Amino acid sequence: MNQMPLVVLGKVSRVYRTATMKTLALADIDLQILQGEYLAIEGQSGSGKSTLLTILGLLEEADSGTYSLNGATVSDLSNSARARIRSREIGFVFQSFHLIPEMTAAENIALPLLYRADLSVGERRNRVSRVLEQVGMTDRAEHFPAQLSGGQQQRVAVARALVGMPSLLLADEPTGNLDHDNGLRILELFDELHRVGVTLVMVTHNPDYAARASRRVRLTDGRIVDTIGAK
Amino acid sequence: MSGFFEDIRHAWRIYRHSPATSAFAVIALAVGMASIAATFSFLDDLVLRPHPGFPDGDRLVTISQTTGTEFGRLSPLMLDRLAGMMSSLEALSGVNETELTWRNHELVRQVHVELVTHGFSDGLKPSLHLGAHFGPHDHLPGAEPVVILSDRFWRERLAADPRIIGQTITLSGGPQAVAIKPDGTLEAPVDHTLGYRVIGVFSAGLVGTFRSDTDMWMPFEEAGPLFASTGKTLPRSPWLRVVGRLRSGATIGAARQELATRYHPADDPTVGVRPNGRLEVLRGVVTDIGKQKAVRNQVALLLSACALLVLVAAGNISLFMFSQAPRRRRELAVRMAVGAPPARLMRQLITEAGVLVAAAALLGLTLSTWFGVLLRGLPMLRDAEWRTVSVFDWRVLLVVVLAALLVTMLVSLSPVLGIQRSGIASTSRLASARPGVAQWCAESVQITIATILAGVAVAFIWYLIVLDGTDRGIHSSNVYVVDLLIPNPERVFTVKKEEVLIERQHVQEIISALPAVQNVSFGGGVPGLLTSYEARIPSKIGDAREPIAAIVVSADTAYLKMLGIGLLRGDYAKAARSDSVVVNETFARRIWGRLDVTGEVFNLFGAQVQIAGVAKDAMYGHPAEKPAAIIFSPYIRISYEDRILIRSSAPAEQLRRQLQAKVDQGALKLDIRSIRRVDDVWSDVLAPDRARALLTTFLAVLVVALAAFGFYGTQRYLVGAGKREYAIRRSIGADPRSTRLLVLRRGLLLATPGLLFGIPLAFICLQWLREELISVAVPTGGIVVLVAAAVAVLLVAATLGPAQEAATSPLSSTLKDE
Repeated sequence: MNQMPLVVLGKVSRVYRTATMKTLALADIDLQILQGEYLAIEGQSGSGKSTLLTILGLLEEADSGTYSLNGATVSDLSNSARARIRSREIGFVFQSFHLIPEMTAAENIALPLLYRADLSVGERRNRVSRVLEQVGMTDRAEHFPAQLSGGQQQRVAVARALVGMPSLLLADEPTGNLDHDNGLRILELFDELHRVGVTLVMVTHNPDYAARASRRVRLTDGRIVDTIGAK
Repeated sequence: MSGFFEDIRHAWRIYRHSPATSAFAVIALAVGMASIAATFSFLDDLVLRPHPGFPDGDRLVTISQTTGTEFGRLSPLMLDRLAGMMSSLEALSGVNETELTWRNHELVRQVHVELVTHGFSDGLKPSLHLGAHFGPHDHLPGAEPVVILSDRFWRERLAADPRIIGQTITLSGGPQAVAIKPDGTLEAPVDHTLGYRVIGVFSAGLVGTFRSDTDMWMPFEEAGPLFASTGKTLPRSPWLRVVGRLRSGATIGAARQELATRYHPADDPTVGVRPNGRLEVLRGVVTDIGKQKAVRNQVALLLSACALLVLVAAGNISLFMFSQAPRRRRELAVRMAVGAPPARLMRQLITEAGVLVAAAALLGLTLSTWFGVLLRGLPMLRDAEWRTVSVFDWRVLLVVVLAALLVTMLVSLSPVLGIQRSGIASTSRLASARPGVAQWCAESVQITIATILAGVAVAFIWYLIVLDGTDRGIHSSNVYVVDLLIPNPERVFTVKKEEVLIERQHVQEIISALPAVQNVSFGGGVPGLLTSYEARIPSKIGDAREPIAAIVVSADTAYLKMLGIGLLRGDYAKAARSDSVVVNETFARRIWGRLDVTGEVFNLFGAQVQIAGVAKDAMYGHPAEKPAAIIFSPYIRISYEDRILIRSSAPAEQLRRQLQAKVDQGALKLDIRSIRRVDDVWSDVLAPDRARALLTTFLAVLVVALAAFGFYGTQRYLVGAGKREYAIRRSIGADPRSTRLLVLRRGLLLATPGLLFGIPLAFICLQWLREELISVAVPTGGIVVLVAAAVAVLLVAATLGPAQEAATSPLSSTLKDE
């Protein structure tokens, strides 16, 4: 495993404000994620784990603190620059898959590549074929999401997250909407990705699933209260 | 352009996913685009398209004298003065029109002739197909009579024979040249036939200068001999329509300024400018400037209404696309999550809107040809001077493309603004129950437009009601006018007055004997269906100013009584002689400045006539116009073609059957074209106003309905988005009434900016209409307030359903959903 830190969070805080109250979602989070590491984030509902993941995925900005990815500070970038990093460096797997129903599996997978001008059409096709094969969905490439089972949809979502060859793969309760068998298949897929060197961060509240990761951090009330496993 | 085709394909799939709503959106926009294309094609034809047949036709201008409300021709002397002083014009020519009789062996046919001064051929240089232009020598006194033919005449009448050049055709004076002889017969023009050598054929593009069916052109100076018998040197009057061409680089503004600077009518009283008159330069070649201006305003108004319709439709579709949440919001959020920058998403949304608008534009262009035919048939546009109205002119297509681009931007506006709300983190939360900027803008624009258009429609309807209620000075209940086909029009030249009177007496006796018939009369017709002459009566002897135009109506002695036109002076029944006439009060006042003119004598068509009476003014024109000067004459040349007026208590169909029975029996030798109540014929006079009011009302209803529908959709969306808030309010004690009131209050707040903008803008629009199209007083302020109140009530009504939903939706499931 490469021991260079891929992600470095320093004193990251996030507060949700309404007219009458403030809710502390994350408080002074210090976290490093090494390249090739498989990190599980655990916590109860409302502990801040999803917020942490959306900040890692540059979908949301922290109110304070620093965030560097691959050695570059990304906490104060413009929307366009953040979008560019998302399309190249980060893959995101959602609990509810978030596939676009009007697009086929292959088109859904190719979506991140649509926003990358540096790739030729041929290269895009190659990559899509490759990840389809990787997730075992080659024979379902032209199916629309409605024609796929939940497990198949999530595999397509994983393929979409992988197609841009990201440095960091983020998964927010990836098995939450799946039955046990399909959930296990997705986790096996993650294990395989981990073996080939993909850096993985998975949010889960299932301790068994978290146990498959190389390191586990537990959040409570927006703070890291426990870390299990080597960094 | 990476991903452009993917965006188009995705758009297609999205629209296919909801075919009904997509079809509605496309059709709504297509109707708007079609109406814009069709209406603009009329404006293009009226104002923008170069006059055909002339090189640099876009530089042609018309010079007219005007008092501001009336437009008139110029005298030849005035034309000469202008030709010598206007450096901004490179050519200037006067044109007069007449109808002459062309005789070709046995064939006798009336032809439309344009009489042109020097400057036409050598200055305006219309395109020639064959032969040569008029030379300067052709305009000299005593020159050989020559003509140039139109391409249409040459092809249709002369079989496109190229050998016609150099040959002579025979022309004789038209009807205007015919005078009444002392014995009552008409002087036929056979003695004044001249041979004209054909020197050229104009190209097919030139269909006429001031008309579109000219058969031939001849030098103005040559027409004199044809009209010698009338004692005039030229037909009708020597007053000319004047057309010029701007020098290259000169603007119409420069020509106007030059005219204003150099030409002062007051300093030049001998050339015939009307009192308080001035000269005006107008773009293009325009025959009836007053009518053309009215039509132009009408078309501009219609175009504005169509543009507003498209705006409202675009706004609605924009809101509709925006409110396709949460599915679209989630999709956009996913795209953002996988790295789509905001600009790229905007491009996608604009492409999606573009696909919709492009489909609408294509469908709209197809529909527009049909719309064009429909619009052209409307009474207010029917009589304008159209050339070749077509939507497939590059200007029209350019406008359609620009409109499509604008609509694309508008349609994509709300979704694009909504991108800011589409973060993946926010999709799990509900959108706000408060309208966003896009909704505020779209609703305000829609309500403003709806208020303006509704105000315009109400103003037109009000105007129509006022016109309908105007006293016309004619009381014609149970009076029918029988329009006849004249089997032998040529007989007009030879028929004797006695023959006409005998025929009339015979017809009168037969018809009077029919059941339910009370009275029978003969005349040129009735308002709305009238054959009349225009006579030009000098305002005083020796006056060089343009004479007063008067309508001469053939009317037997029972005519005035039949139509209930009262006499102020004299007795028309005594005016049995052909040299006695009755004039109306406007005529008497304009010529003599008084009403007591019985016994006065004046010259009408070259003969002296005496006034036997003065009639009250009756409306023969539009009720909003000033009354025309009218001369009722018991017998003029066209009395041969008089219509029959019948007062009968029988229905029209029964009267027709009665008359037809007499015709079938051979008792009457008539060919009946139509039998209509005089009141129905009169209602045709108001047909343009009625059509305009109906069209505007139709558009206004459409726009108001769209706005109300859009408002309802927005309210439903907002209530749906805020259902949790309303549920919480109710769970802590808000009763349904207060919840409904809250939604209504929020709805009214959303409507307020639109109403606040709409009220002053509608007022300004109505003030403009009063200047240009509505000539009688309408209570502008009252109408605007009324309309704004009605729109507000409608919007409140549109909010009632969503308010009820907010007040009654099941609490448990709503709160559990969250």
